[in-house]
Amino acid sequence: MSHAGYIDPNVLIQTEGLKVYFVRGGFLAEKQITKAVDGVSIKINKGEVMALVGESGSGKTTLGRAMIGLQKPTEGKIIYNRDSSPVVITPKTKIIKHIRRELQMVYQDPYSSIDPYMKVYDALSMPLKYSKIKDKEYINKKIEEVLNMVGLPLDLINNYVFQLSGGQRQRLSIARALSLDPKFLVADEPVTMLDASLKGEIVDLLKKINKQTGITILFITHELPIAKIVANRISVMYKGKIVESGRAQTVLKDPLHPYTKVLLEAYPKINPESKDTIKTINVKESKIDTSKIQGCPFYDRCPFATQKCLEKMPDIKSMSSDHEVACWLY
Amino acid sequence: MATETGIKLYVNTIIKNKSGLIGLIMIIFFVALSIYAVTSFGKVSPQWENSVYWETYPKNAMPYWMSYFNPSKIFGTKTISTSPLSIYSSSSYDIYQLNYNFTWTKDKPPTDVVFYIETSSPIQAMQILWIKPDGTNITLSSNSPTSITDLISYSSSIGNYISQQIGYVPSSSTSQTYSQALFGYEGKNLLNGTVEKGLYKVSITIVTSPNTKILSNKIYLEGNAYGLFGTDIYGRPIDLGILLGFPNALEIGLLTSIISVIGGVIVGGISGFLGGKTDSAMNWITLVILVLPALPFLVVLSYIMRPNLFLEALLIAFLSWPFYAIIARSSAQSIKNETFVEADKVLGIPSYRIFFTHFLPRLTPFAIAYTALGVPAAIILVETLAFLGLTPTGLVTWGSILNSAESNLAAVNGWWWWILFPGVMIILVSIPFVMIGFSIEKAVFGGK
Amino acid sequence: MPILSVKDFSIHFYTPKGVRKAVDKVNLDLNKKEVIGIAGESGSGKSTLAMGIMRLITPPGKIVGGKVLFNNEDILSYDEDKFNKEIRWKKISMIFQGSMNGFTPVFKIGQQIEEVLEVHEYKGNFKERVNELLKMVELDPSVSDKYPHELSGGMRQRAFIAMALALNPEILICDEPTTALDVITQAKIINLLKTLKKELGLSIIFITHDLALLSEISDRLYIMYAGSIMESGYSLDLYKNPKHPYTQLLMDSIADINKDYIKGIPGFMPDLANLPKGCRFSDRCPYAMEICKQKEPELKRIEGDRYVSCWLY
Repeated sequence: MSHAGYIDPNVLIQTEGLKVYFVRGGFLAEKQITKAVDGVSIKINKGEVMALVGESGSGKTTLGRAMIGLQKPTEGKIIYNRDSSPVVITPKTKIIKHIRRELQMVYQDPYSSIDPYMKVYDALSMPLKYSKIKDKEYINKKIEEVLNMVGLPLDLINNYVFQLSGGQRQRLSIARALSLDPKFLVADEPVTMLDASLKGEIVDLLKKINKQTGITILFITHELPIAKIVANRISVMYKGKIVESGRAQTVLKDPLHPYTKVLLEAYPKINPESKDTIKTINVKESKIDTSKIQGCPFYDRCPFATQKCLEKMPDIKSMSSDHEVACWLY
Repeated sequence: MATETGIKLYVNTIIKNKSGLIGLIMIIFFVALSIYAVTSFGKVSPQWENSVYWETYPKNAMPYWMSYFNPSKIFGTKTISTSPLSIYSSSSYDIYQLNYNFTWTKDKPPTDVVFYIETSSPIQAMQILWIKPDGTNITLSSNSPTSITDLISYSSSIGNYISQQIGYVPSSSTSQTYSQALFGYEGKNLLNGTVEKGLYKVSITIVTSPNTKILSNKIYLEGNAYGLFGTDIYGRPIDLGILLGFPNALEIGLLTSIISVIGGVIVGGISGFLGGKTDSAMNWITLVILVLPALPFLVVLSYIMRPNLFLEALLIAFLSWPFYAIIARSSAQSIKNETFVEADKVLGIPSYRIFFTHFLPRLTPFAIAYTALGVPAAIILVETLAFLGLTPTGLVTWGSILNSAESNLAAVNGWWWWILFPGVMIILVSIPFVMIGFSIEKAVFGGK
Repeated sequence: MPILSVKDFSIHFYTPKGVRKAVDKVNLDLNKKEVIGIAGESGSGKSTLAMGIMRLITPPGKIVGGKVLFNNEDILSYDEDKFNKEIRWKKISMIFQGSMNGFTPVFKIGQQIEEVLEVHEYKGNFKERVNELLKMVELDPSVSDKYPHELSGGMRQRAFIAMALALNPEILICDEPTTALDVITQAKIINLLKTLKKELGLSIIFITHDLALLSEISDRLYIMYAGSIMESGYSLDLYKNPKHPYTQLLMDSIADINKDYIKGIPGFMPDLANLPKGCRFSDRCPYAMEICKQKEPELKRIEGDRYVSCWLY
């Protein structure tokens, strides 16, 4: 872990040219490279909620996992601006335990992210016990605190996890992550598996926790409306690349990248009046293999595509104070 | 998914399921039989190979219940005794006379007649006067009288008698032939199979040293039917053999199954949990042992080592654990891919703890189901070895009973009871374990 | 007269924990050239209802009562053979959430559609029909020579729709057909279904948990909760002015891009094997009264085509 160069003190975590490739085959079969994350540089400020938006397969989960050291990067680096000294994660870094606990994750499926045969108390106390805290009283106090924070009743601690509902399990999952006082939380589609009636509660909970504790959250989602509600800033990811990012309000109100525009247009809205008017979405379905693209990955679907887009990936350009886009149109 | 944990869950699943319940009842019955065998016949077990011990038993007798179908030809052993009379006593020797009367009504003679006289000091001389219902008589005398004598002991006396009557002695004379001579009509037709029915009188005169007491006396008119499952060529009751085989079968079956399942689950579980190069190496070893041809391998090893019961269990377990290791490994691999395993790693929980919290509880039900299912396989393997003559020394096993049936040509001689009952037992003892194994498996792995 | 009419339809699941009333006396009508939406959370019984109409319920589930009238004829009373020959796929066909993965990987798309034609004794040229169908779902005819893995998820879903339409059915049941697709592909599939409805005169039952999506396609709406219809009516009306407290709360919980909030509904759906005595929503309802806990309300018509099952009305 070498010392990094200049780091904006407001930034908690940032990536520089981060690439994560998955290689399949190679011995007898043809080598197949999946470029899950392909040259991503983003900055997440201290205390903010950043939404990472993209469709499935865009690499957003891989990016989130790489940022907390769960996925080895192929190239580039992640700089975690820890209080005293910044920590740099490169392809060669082995992550150290104490940093591990500061970078936490909440998973998509609450039914598989906690062992159903565990007791709630054990699920909560185990991470604490192994974090050098031996004081039982402290552990119990901490459990009470996090249960309060996520809005779970204290008397649940003697229940088995399988006795909890989906919503309760997701709260418990958040409580476990929070119990270690992390600085950065990656919430990977935390409400996708939940019913409409529960989504609101969990989204509100994460917002509340962000406000109360100042924890920085990377909220990964494919649902734009959820991103709008939860996030201060939004990054839109498409096929391993960030195509647009900026203040949530700005990006959603005034999208610049053709992909963001199409995404907003395609998102179902409540409009029972427009029964017979068919939306015109003039994009094709993607057929190309990402590993072979040189230029912009949206090239084959983009209505404004030119020869330039095919040849070279545009750099991300700053359009206003907090709005960046990677497109040759600008 | 089951919603209970612990032993209670397993007992509940077994009992709730009809086949599980029947299996459990059968096992309880088998265990009770084993305890009965060990407590009541523990001293008989070492005598199993000692043919003298079984001398008073009828040889090659069929099951006693067969006599209900043909009571005049199939019958059990008849025992008679009398009170001895002292007819002469002096300072140099004593003479006793034992007079027996019995009525014979069967169509066939006894398979053998055994004279049993237990005295406080050795018998010096002995003479038997055998009087048939029509008054004809034979005198049997032996040069070396002992406390137990059968008809073979008097082969010269009876042989003489036979040649007097029919002019020659049949070349293949057995106890059956001599018995026929004692029970047939005197004359040319002595050995043609007809039996003189009526009152027989037997008078035994013995000469002993002075002050000798006769402790007990008996004549066994050996039948051709005995006990629940008959007897073998040495007179050993098959039912007793089966009873004595119970504890051994259960013990070695359970022991082998437990050792191999625990070994397999630990190796496979750790291998699947660790992954990477360790996994590859462990998996390679597992596969190598798996492809060893088990039976020839065991035959060679047992022949060289002549192991005791525990060692034999270890040997079989050594060859059967890879089967369980492979299953445990694949389920460990699937558990490893569960999100909660990664989630716990992110939360800083060490690997060994993850193994104990997530893997072991999931591998346990699997291990219990396979332990139950592994018992019959182990029993069959042990019995097979025993059948091939490789029994741990001093053990009565069903396989060894079958082995001696084989070497004594039981099938050729039509002694079906010697083969059928031990064979059926090997199958029967497997059934409850399979039933219980399946009922646990059903509960653990789902299915209809 | 509706083309399909479901009357007092009940489907129960006989589980060790008791009888789960997955569909409990449901009534619904589908008119010709109409799209009705069935909306509900997971566990509301909406998919079971669809499977019930197709008679695809397997044990421990069982259709325990009611009628399914197709053109006024009770197709529930048909024996399995007759139903298979005359109704399934020919008159009523269905696509699912995972149906794009329903193709066999080893046969070409064209072959698989032709097989359907063959099984159902289609009279006419198979090749021509396949091309016609592919054109209908806006796929290139060359797709018929491709294997399923050569197509994207959206294209496979289109191909499956083509297969579902192979025998010119009058009704298409769509059970969450776009849930596994990304939003752009989803929008395109919705557009396709709208076109098909117009051009083929298809009647569609569209089942989803996504009310926003449903608003873009459905003419009428049925809101389902714990196996029972809570409210029904014209979409135009129902979205603007939901009457049933559950519908109101569900509308508030929709994540819509034009809204700045989403609300949750506190509490849980009741155990279908152990339904409360009164209204099944009573323990979560903010307006619950004494009677709601005592007696179950019936689905009442309150105005026009609006039916609500609530004691408030």
